[in-house]
Amino acid sequence: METTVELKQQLEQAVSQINNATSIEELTKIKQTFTGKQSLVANTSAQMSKLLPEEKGEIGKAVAGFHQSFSSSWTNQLNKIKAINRENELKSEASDISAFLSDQNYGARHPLSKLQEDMTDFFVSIGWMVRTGPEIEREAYNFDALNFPPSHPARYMQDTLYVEEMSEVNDDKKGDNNLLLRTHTSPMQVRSALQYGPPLYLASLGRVYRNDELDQTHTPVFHQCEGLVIDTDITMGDLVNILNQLSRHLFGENAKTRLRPSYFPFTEPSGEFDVWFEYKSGGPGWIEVGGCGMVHPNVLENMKIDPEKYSGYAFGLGIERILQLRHSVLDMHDMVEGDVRFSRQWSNQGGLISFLNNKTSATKQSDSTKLNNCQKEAK
Amino acid sequence: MVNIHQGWLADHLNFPKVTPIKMGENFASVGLEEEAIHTSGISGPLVVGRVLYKNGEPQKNGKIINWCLVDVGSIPNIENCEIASPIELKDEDKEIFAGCELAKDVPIANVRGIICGAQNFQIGDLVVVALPGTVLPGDFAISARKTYGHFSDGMICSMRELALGDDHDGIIVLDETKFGKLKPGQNAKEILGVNNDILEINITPDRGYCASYRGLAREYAAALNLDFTDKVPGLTAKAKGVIKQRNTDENGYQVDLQSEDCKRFVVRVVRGVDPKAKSPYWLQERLNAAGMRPISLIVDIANFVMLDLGQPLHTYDLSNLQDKIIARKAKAGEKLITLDDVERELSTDDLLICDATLNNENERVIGLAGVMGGQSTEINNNSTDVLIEAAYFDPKCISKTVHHHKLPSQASFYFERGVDTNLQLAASELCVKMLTELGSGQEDYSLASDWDNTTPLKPLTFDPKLIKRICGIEVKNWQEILTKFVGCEIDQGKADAKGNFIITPPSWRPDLDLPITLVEEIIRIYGYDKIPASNDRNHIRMQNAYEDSYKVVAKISEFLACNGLTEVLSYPFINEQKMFTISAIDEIYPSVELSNPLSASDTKMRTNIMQTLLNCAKTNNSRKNDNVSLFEIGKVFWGQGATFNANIYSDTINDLPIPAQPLQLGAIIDEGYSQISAVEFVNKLAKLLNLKIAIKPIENAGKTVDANSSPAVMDLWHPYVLANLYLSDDDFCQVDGKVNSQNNPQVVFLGQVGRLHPDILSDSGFSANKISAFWLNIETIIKRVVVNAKRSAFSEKPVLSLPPVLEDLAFVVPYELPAITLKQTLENTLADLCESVTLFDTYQGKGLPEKTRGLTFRVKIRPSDKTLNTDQVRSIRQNLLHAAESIGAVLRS
Repeated sequence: METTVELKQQLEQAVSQINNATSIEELTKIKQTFTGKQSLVANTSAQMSKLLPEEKGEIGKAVAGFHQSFSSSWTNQLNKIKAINRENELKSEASDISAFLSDQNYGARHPLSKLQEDMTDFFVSIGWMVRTGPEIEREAYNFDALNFPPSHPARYMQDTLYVEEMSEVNDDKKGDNNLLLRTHTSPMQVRSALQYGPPLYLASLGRVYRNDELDQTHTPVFHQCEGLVIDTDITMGDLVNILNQLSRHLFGENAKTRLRPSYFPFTEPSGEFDVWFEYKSGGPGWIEVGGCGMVHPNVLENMKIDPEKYSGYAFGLGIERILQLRHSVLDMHDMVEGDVRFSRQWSNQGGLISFLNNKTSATKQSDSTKLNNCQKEAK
Repeated sequence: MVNIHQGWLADHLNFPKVTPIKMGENFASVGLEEEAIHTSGISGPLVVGRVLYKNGEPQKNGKIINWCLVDVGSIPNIENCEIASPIELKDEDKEIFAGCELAKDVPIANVRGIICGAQNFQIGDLVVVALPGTVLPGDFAISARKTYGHFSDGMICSMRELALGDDHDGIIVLDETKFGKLKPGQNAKEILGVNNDILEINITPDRGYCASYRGLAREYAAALNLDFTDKVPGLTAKAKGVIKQRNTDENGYQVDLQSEDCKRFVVRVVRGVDPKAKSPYWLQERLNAAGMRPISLIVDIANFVMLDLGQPLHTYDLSNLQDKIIARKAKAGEKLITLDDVERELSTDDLLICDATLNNENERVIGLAGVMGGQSTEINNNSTDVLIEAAYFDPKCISKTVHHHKLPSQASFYFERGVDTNLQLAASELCVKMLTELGSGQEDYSLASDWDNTTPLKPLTFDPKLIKRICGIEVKNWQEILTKFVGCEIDQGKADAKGNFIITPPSWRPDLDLPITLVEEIIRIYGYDKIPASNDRNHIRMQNAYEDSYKVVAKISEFLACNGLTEVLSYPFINEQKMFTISAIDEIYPSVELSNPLSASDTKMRTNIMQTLLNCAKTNNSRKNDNVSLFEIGKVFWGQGATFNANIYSDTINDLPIPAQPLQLGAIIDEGYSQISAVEFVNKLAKLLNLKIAIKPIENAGKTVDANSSPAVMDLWHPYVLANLYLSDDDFCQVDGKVNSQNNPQVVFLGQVGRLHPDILSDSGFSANKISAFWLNIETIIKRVVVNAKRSAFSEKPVLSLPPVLEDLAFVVPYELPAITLKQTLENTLADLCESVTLFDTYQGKGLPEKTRGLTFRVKIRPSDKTLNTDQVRSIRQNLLHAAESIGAVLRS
């Protein structure tokens, strides 16, 4: 009986030491002491074969009990120590996660590019195709096909930048079909109409050029978006519908459009369209946005489309102007100079390029004149 | 483009008086857009004054300056003006005032002392006084000031000071016979007609007739549904009467219309015009309102008629004119001195007005028809006998001349837009009438003549169903719109058997040349705003909705922006004279040149995106911006021989080529901010777009420099930190059909990566020197991605699960051996066993032989079927070392 009592005492001793242990090394030592070769429980186990059968049962039970209790206490304490160690280790790694390496280490898209992507996605979402096209064009596409008669004042309405002829083209063949920097994206409408034929639902986006001085409100290099639809039974009602949709997309859910008569050589009837803009700076009001109209039958014929069978509408707007109006950009210089602080504003403000809901107004450019003041200082 | 004087408009149409803003809205509803609203530039107390006393005081400089006492009335006559009280007169002036004959009923509180330098007025005259507090045009604020020994308490004004004309010889003396009874203290702005803000509207090129009050009145009547009566038929009838009345023996003044470009020429002659007669104030004021300078009675009347009716007139001094006028095209080499004193070499496209004797002798050029007259027959200060020309010239012909000589004029503005072919008689009649009434002239009926080769406008066959087809709505009163407001005539007033109407446009609407143009007139006057929006067409679905470039460009841009680069959109113009070179480019194309560049220096288009991207860097650096890491994706322009994308844009209208315009990406990276180097950007982009990009370092792009070298043009790249980039892919080369590199036919040149040259860095204002950059032909990538998309799906390689063997190999390599070459050698040697070869350390300096450096690679070998035993690993290692040795890399001991 002594053995069982002894084992019991040893166990109590062991558990007490285990519970007081604070390191894994200590625990290992305790295990060695109480369960190693020289330990009571090891000796007891080794002597088992020599015991009487009636003793075997009782002592065997005691040995097993010792082992079970010991190892459960030991494992518990081991886990506890490991957890404490891990926690201490983690604590030692504490650092200020809000301390950035650098505030300046971020980039930004140009808002004009984002806006063009946004408009492209809009048109594709309503089933249209979107094309950009070449920037150096020929008069045939930029003017002639669009019903600008030679020497008509309309041809000079937009001051054109002309380009020297390529050496492989001889003058006889060229005639008046000079190279130029396109003054609108409409030549791509002509190319697309000739390539795909009707029915055609097309938006053309991209860079265009006019012989203008760069100032607060003008830039000689800018971006345009034009729409062209040719199908059977297209009317001005369809035009009004698409302009309403586009306006709501660009200017918020409550935007609406208003058409006024105007003149373009390539449309008849022709119009200008204004948009009711809820968040206009200075209060809600109408803003002039672009031109539109029904495709002139001469233009349809130039596109090899039968005007008796098909009709169409077209519209166009300046992308810089959209940005200007929506975000109160006061100075065109900011859009063209490539100052990183201009584009980064759109990233800083959450990149609000489209109206996600009608409750939010568009990001306003922070005081744009600041940029220019800095410029002056730097000089 | 056209300023609208409401009083003048009222001569043609009865309309309710409205503000300029409201009037602008009314005009806009019929397609005449508001351009601006002009104010007179005059504010504050500008009043009528009566000169009570005037004393000329000689000055040291010889001038005589008048000290005046002026009665400016009692103050509250001017609304919204705070007026300073008069400065109290000196005792001596009070005495003078008491002695003034005219001062009997004038309270002294109404009198101000004013200094005036002009001499053209008398005691008792009514003048225009700007009291202190008045602001005159040009922000000229009037205040009381001490001058010439007096306190001048205001200013007596001339026409020029009020921006009413150029007259600065004297002050304005108000004539009561013209202005009616006047009283000191009256608001002079009202009397002078400068009280009104003026609406300026835009005239679209198709509607030139709207640049006249006759045309504007017609449009305004249409906008407001008012009744409009045209003055022209009455005037025309009178003129016809004159020509009929002409003595039947006489033929009138002879005109020979030798060119088809002159279709009508009406001549009227007025003799005995008083050369001293001045234009009355109302005429000057109207011309001023139109933005025209009053010049002389004869010229002013001609301008008035042009603005009133839309017919430009030319007036000749009859005494300098021979007996016959000829209209003909110029001959090569002919010259003319125009009114502006410039001798002009004429083009054979120019239409000329010449004079000659009746026998066609002594012919000489006297004017550029419809554009500008010549000096020899100009009206001058002594002209008394005036020949009036009212003509119709072909719009295209005039437009050519205007642009050839860069000589736009008021007259050409009208002729270019197509003048009414039935207006010439009426305009000449109005001009004669005014010269007679205002200039005391007498018409010489014997010389009146009308030479007419015009043809009426072509009638249009109009099917009213077109209205609904185009507008989507019916317009029931379309006939009324066309006849009442537009001025068309409808033959028989009813349709033919097919439902068509025969409609003749009025002579002032040459733009109405197709049935569709009538639809525009109908819907424009009916109201664009009455067209309801249609419902969506829900069957639309275009194939290939996105352009091939869209996703590639968007993906690259987002990637770069997310990794610290800011996108810019630079102008593509360059000054090639000052442009840096770009070394080691495989293919160089000539640039495209502008014929009429925006600036004299930037005459060409960029051939590489880096050329303009660096400008943006410069701007940012000069403003001390942080992290000037930039990128741009834009077109570059290649001149002759560049057939890169000619197949995309082949010209189907005229089969003429246009210059290649591929998209390029350029990026500048400040490695002080970026966690990613330029070459890593390239690698990551290759992964993002699923491309194989080969990096081929340029061994030595440096130049031989000796003492005699001329100052070299800057180059973009650091000559010893530069690599060319190639798309390496067999399929692509076959599809593209174009092989770029001479050394390796398996690759296509794609772009470059490297560090920027220190000269470029300092030129662009970079202070750090670790600025790297890369540029890529995006167009090539787009093509590759499209080819990728069309290829059959690749077969997945099984993912191996056996444990890999890692070998770290430290090599000593000659300096010029690129790391990438060694890496590729190791990869090729391992073949299928290769999982990865990674450069993880580079070293140079101590412990290494000269001109060498250390490169340490970690090689990860993964067998596919069986774990490798030690012997196998040893043999693989030996193979790797052999291969490395063969290119000069030895294991570091």
